[in-house]
Amino acid sequence: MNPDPKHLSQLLAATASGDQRAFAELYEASSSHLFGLLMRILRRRDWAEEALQDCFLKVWQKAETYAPEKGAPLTWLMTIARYRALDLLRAKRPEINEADDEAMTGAIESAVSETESPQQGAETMQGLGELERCMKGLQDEQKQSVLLAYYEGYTHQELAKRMKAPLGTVKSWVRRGLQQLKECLGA
Amino acid sequence: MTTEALERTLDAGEYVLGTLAGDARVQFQKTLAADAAARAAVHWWESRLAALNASIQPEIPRDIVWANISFAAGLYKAASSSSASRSLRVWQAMTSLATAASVLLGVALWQKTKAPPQILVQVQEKIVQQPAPTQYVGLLQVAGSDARWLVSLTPDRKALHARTVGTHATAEGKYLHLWWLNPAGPVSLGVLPDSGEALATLPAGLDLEKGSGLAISLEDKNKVPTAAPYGPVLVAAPVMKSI
Repeated sequence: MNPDPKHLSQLLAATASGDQRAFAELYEASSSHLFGLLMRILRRRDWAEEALQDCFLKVWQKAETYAPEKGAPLTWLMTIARYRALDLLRAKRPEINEADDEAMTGAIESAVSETESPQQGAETMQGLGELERCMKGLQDEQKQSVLLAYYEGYTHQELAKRMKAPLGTVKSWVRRGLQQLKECLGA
Repeated sequence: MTTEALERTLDAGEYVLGTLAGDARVQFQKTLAADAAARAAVHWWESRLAALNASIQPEIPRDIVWANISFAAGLYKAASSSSASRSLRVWQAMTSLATAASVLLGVALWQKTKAPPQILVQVQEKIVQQPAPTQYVGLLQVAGSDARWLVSLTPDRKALHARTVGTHATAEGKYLHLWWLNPAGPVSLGVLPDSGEALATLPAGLDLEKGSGLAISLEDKNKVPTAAPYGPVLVAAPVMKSI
């Protein structure tokens, strides 16, 4: 269950004013969500832990930059985590060894399968419902490219390698997939 | 939407997805700093694609992560010795303090969250599980100095990592020496930096289960100790073993 957005907003505001207890509570309420995301993208516990530390230090230092118009507080925190994960991947992915590489290839080869419809929920579920509807309108390769990039943090080059397709083709899949999503999701 | 606006929107989408890399990513980050429309486009994608996060299973991080964060953020003071002239006998005294570290760190208890909703499309997870290595972490602060050290010992990797928060003003001709507090006598771990980070290899055969903590001594650069400190012990502190 996601933490209550209003409570998270209050914790962020208190953290911004230097309230250490609020910061600890914020960590307690949200760190498992951020860590799950980081593990999903980075696939290595040591990297995910490093990224999680960086994220919360940034939150401690920059909590005042959060504003409700930037979206739900958990979304804001997850966005910070995701960008940190991408930065780490860009810096460290060359370190991935052969065993990791095989696992990654396997993940892609077996990737992308339709699952149940999302359950009802609040704001996130509404967004998910819209996204699901629009994703269904994408060609398989477009959908796969977008999702692999989001969940695995792949660059164009990595996508091309994993999907065994020319770089230009992959770029086109991503670009057209995004364009179609934009048109479908609206302004 | 104009062609220019569409291109900006798609660039923003690629930035949020993470497909931009290298120069393209750096270039777009520069654009973001100067272009409010680009920032708005990024925010639009962030909020729309965030729905994909709903399929990600929460996972509880190890307690050591919070310990590192709270230390680096300066949320509490590290255990420190007020005396700058303690003798070597401090080793024995400190052996009883190891279990106190968890109290200092104020580790939170966690409740597992329920599974998130299913997502429309799910990439099959094949996370390369890394067994979490056991770590021993000590927090040291010398009285009268703003500098603090977070020292992590990872026996599985025979690795020592020391990170300094702040800078310690070590007297001319002196340096800081790090020790492991073993009941049988101190074990030299090497030179501790005045600032920044340091990596080192743990001594062969070091059994951290039998020790109790870390200590820093102030040594003369011309008289490097190996078996025991020559100079004064500035601080000694217990370590916390990660769960």
